[in-house]
Amino acid sequence: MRQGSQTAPEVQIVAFKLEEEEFAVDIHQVHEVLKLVPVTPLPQAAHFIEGVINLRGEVIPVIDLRKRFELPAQERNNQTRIIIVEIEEHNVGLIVDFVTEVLRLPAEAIQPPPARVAGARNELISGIGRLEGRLLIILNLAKILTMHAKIALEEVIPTPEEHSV
Amino acid sequence: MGKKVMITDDTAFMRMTLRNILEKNGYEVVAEAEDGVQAVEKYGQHKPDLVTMDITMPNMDGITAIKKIMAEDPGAKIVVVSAMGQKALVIEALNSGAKDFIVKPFQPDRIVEALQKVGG
Amino acid sequence: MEGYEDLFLAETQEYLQIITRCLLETEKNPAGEHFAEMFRAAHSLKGMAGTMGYELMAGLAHEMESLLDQLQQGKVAVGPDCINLFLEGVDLLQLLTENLHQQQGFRADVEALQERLRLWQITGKENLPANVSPAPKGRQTGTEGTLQEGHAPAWEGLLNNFEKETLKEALQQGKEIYQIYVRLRRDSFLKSVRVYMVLKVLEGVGEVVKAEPSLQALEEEKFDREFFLLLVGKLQAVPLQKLLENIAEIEKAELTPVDIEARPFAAGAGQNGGKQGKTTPAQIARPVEKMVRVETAKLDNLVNLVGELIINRTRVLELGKKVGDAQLSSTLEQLERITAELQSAVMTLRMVPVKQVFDRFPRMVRDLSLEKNKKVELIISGEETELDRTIINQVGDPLVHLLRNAVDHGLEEEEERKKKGKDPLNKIFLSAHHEGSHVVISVEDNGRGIDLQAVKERALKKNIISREKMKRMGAAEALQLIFQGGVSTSRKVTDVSGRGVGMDVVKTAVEELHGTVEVHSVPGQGSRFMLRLPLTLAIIRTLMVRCGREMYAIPVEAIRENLFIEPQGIRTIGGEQVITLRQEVLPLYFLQELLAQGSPSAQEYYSVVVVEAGGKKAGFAVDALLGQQEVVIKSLGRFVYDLQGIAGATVLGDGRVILILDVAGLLEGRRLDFGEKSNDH
Repeated sequence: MRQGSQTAPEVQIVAFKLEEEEFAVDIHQVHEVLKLVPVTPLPQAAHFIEGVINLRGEVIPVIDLRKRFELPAQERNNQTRIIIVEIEEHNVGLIVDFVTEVLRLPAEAIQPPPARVAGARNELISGIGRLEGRLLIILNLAKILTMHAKIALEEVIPTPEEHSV
Repeated sequence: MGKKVMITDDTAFMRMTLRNILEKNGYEVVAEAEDGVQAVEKYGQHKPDLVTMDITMPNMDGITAIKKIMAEDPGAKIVVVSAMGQKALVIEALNSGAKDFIVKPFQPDRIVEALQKVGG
Repeated sequence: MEGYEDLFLAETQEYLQIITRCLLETEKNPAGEHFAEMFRAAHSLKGMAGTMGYELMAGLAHEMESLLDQLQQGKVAVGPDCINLFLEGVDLLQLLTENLHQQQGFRADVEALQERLRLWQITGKENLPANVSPAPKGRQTGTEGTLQEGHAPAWEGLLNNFEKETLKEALQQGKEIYQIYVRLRRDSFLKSVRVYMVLKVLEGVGEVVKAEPSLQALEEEKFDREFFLLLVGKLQAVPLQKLLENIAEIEKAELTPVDIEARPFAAGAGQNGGKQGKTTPAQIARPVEKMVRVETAKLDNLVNLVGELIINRTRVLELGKKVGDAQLSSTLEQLERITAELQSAVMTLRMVPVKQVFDRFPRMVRDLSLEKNKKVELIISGEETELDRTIINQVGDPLVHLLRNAVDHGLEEEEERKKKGKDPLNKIFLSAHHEGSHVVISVEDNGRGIDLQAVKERALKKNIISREKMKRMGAAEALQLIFQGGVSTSRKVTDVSGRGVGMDVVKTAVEELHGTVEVHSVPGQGSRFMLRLPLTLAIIRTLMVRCGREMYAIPVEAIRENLFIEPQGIRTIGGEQVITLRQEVLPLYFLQELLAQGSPSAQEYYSVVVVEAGGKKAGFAVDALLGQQEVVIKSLGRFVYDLQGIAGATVLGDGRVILILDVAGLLEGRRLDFGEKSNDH
């Protein structure tokens, strides 16, 4: 985790919404935020991989974060965004409902994920940030694409086999 | 009296090894510097006949130190001490005014040869 | 040091290959003069390993070098045991390079071998057989390592016209020509920096016209401890000599005036001038390098950028057509031509000669032939043929399979050959040549050929064909069976390659490279396998097809033909849809379904792409054929790399991402998909 939450007194994050929950990623891992562009579907890929897009000539995978977190599918609209993040030196797009804002969070306002959050989902979360009554789930991007985390997730919540978006 | 030498190296072990070799061969070690800053400072104080200069050091690297010393004393006789594979750095050091170089790990006769040739 | 590791490994590989090749040649012809070359290789290897701090490697190379020195001087006789000892050394060095960071585990092995090498040096000397005459004096052919004082290079033979011209001009200006001989202390580190210091001293007094070994070799430390320079200038020899000798670790420096019209004044000049001339690239006056080592990552980046350029060019051309301006279109035509040239120029940067792979085979075939007790000669040709680096890296394994197979099953024992009235010597021909935009690598043997009956029976046993089918099968078709998993070309199951592992692996590997394999065989006369490989993997020719809303690119390599069929032409056999093409029944898949992208809409007729890969043939029904296009292959990134049936993606001129299909993967995964689908729906 390159969050630096232990050492830096302050953490800058990009916050976004999925369903009613507010999530965030470390701003150092965010390259840019795009409006929704056409996505080329990838047959046989993990169910949460929406497909690939062309980012200035580079072909990069795009993940539907709703699917990644087993949230119900929702109609895309003009607020839908693709957040381009860097995971292990590779660009990956994350489809989110909408991007709320860029925030500064004191490091001590971030706590490790509480045990009551379902175990597998826990792996995808690096911490919980609190800011003026808001709860921000800070993602552990390194785990977001690993099959291991996916399997664990399926153990907790049975996956509905659906292909249509 | 042997020639006066200043040893520059950030590791105590290397300084000790060099000191032993040099003293056994009739050199007088007049100063030891742990980094480039100290080297420049102590060069001014001790005016040694010869300087051994490590390349990678904290605070100020050897090449910068060579340039500073050469600026103050164009006659300075500096021998660069390099690790294997630091080819580019050695060349830069030579271009900055170092007279010759020796390569770690130390072999006493090679060091003595280099210092003799440079010291005249 | 880390940055040097790749370079170190690459060069070590080169040296090991040189030693191996020389050893094998020496084995064939002990009188051949390969010791100097081996000596230099072992020596350079030692130097590099020492510099990198791999003392075990350096130590082992050192003992090899010492023994080679003795052999070279004729103090020890060479024999098969000696060759084997060296080969063991090469193997151990290879092992050490493969385990760079666990060297210590091999300490015992290295020390044991070092001891044996040392012993050889002593015992060999005692038992010098009378029939081996000591090498004549001054036999050294070398340019590096073996040069000795007084053995000055034959400069005239080394100089190119440009250099001669430079010298002539200098002479006319009243300058003089000097030969400078420099010898370093033994085992100097950073020798190239010593060279640099020498050149720096000389900078002020004249111009270095030529170096022997070449400046590049000096720069790369490919020399032992001596070198010669040819200098023009006005100078005072004695002080300059002192100046040079005052550089640390320079043991000796010597300046000799040279009369270039004749020979250098130094004694013993001029052996093998021709050979040296050949091995030394023509150098111009300054330390200009003919070759540059570039990180492969940089090349890949360049190729990618050119790929981008091509994509954008396509887009610009499309836009240009819409505008319809005459001046614009002629400019665009030029742009098209230049970018095409740029593309092919960049592609050549990635090309390396197949020699890189071929070089390891003489040794392998030799070992195999000893093991199998079959006399065999491997004849290699076309090794200078170039292929994309990526392909070179991957074509080795299939070739190993083919060669092993040839020795194992193709070739006959001496008795058998004699009985048949054949030349007792088995021959394997390994060759490479260009054929259009492809390179064909062929492995041919003059052995017994493939026993088709045995192949058919094995296929029958493995339920690959029916008895019915077996009877009807023609020779060509039966021959294709060897590419099926489980079918071997061997009559008996004796070893790995006889267990039916091999040919299917070869085919799969070659198809992964977008290539094809062909086999021809004449019973009693031999077999020939031909691998047809594309020159590059970065760009491939594809057929664009449309299915529903998506477009896909199918590599043309896998396409046999295109046809249109009416719905009545589709039959269902055993739950699978099939079509009949010239009496051949082929499974038909709707690409859209195959890729789980929904169901195709009913049409008056379907476009069918007949594909063949991985030993399977099938029809892909698509909505429309859009035409052929060259596309730049892009990876899908490391997170989605192992999708079955998808080879990668490409970006079209308009920015759309199109998937490139992997036909072999699609056909392979077909059966599995069926199972899953029936559960889903």
